[in-house]
Amino acid sequence: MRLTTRFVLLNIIIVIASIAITTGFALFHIHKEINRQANVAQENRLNTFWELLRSKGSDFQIVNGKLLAGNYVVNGNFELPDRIKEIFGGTATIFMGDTRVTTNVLKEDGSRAIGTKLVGAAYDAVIKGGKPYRGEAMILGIPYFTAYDPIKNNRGEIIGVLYVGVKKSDFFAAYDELKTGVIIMAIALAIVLTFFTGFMVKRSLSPLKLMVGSLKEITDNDSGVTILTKRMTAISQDEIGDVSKEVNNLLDKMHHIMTMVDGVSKRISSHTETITETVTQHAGFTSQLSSSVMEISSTMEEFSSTAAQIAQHSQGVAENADQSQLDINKSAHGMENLAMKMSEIMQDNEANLHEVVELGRKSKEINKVMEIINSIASQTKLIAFNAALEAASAGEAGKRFGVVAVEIRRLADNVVESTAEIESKISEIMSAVDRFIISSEKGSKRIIEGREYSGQALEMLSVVVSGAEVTNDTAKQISLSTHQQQIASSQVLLALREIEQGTRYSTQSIQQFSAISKDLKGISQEFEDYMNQFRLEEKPR
Amino acid sequence: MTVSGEIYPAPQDGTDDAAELLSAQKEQKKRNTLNLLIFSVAGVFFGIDADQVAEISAYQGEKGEDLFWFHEEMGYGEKAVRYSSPAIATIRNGGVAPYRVIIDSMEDIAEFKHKDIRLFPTLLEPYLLRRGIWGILPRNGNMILLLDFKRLYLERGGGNILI
Repeated sequence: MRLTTRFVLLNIIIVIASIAITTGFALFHIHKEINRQANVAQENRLNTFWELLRSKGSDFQIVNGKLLAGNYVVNGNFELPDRIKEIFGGTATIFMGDTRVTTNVLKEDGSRAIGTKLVGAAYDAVIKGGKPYRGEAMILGIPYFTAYDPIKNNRGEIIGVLYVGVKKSDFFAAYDELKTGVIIMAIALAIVLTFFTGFMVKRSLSPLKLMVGSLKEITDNDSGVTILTKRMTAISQDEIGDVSKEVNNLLDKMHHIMTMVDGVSKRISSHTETITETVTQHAGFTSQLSSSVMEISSTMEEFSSTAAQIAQHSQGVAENADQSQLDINKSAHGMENLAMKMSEIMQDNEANLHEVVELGRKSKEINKVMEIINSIASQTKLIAFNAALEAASAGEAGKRFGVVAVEIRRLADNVVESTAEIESKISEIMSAVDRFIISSEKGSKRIIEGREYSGQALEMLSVVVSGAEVTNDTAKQISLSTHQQQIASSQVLLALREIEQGTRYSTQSIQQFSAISKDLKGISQEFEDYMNQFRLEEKPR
Repeated sequence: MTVSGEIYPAPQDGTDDAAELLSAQKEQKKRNTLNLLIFSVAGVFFGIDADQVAEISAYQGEKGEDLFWFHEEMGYGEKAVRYSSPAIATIRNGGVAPYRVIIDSMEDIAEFKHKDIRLFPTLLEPYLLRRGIWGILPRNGNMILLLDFKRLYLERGGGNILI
């Protein structure tokens, strides 16, 4: 419900309540006073009725079914009730027992209501209780103020009742008119005051509406962003205006704070990104470190194993070194024999080379002979051709001669072919001789080199012998060192396992730190999102 | 030399004299065969009538106005020709002028039948005759060009040759 409506309703309730309470209070007291005055009047009327009755006789008794006051017969005697009516108005009745014997109350048919009975609370109080009764009662359907007193005989027995009454309307007619008028006036006044109050409330609260509009522009705009650069513009000269000024002051302070918070937020975001990158890099580095440590551990395990094997083998090396020294001494002796054999081979090779050169020379001489044979064969062939020509020109007579010429030519051709083949073979022999000579020369060189190498090898072997001794000592040292190395590598392996464990813990910590930095980044982003709900600068136009 | 593709008549039957018949048969055979000196120059085989060659001698580098290289006589052109076993063939020209040709790689002197010789078509014959080539003889999968040195000598302006 809107504040204006609430104010208006509250004012209406207050006005109506005020008027109602005031009116009710006044009417209540008026009603109370009327009641009091009615009671006083009833008492006066009843006292007067008693005075009139006692003036007839003070001794009350019932005789022959008649109520007597002294000698005054009450039954059917309407003097006294009518006298009361004349003096005060209202009704008056005398009961004998509980039966009306005289009254000024008229029935609907205009006759006096004699013979009717007293009932209800008045009967109980007066007849049964013997006490006076004051109160309201319905008489013939009309509300009355009533007053009943018991009539007692000399013995104090209740023999009748004295009654006076007056219509309530006789007392409350003016009151009822007044009440109606007051209520109408109150309603009218309430309506007028309600409208007036509503108008005044609305007028008074109109700056508040403007303030709400300005606040809506600041907070509840289309962009959904709280624009901290805007301020309350409509400032009235009342408390609401003071509130607007204070709101502006608050916005100023909020703008200042949010600007600082925005800067801090951006810095936090930047630092968070840097932290995240650093953590990521560190995580990667740690992961690499972890894997490297694991690789090193694995390598060190192999290394340790290898060191054990080396220690074992180095012991064997030391033993072999002793054996090698003996073998090298034998080898040196063998190398001396080898150098002697190489000298003998060289001498044999030189002799073979000399023989082969001689063979080449003789082959060349054969070649010359073959050239002569070839020339003779060519000449023979020419002669054979000429003979064939002659035979051909001689006709049938030269036929046999021609056959001989052909055979001679064939022989010459065969000789030429044979000599060519021999020349080819001699050429092959010469080539083989040349190759053999070259090969023998190379062999001689190699034999010489071999001899030199064997000499060098012999010298080197003597060096090797001394080196073998050193090697032997060194191998023993190596065996000792490798044993120490094995112990050291075991210690390194132990340390590496501790490093690996530490790296694993570090990796887990970094992963947690990475998760935290990611959360921090998310929070920073969330914070930036919150900050984006505030506009701290004027929108560029 | 008689060069023709004519068919020589066979000796007639019914002669009484057997000697005459044998002589006629020999003459007939002579007419039906030809002795050729086969040689090759630069891988090409040539054949000349052995009757046209008076003598064959070894070539030893000598020179002379009557001595010619075969490839020059045949007009091999600028191409260099290598002789593996050159020999000088002395051509019979009736003693008018000496005419010697250096040939190469003599293969054989053999007798061939006329019917195995192929003559050139009429369209090509005049041109080839001017180069001294008058026929082709297939032998052992090779083609032998048949030469007439006397005609060649005349074509190069060597004067009249008595045949």
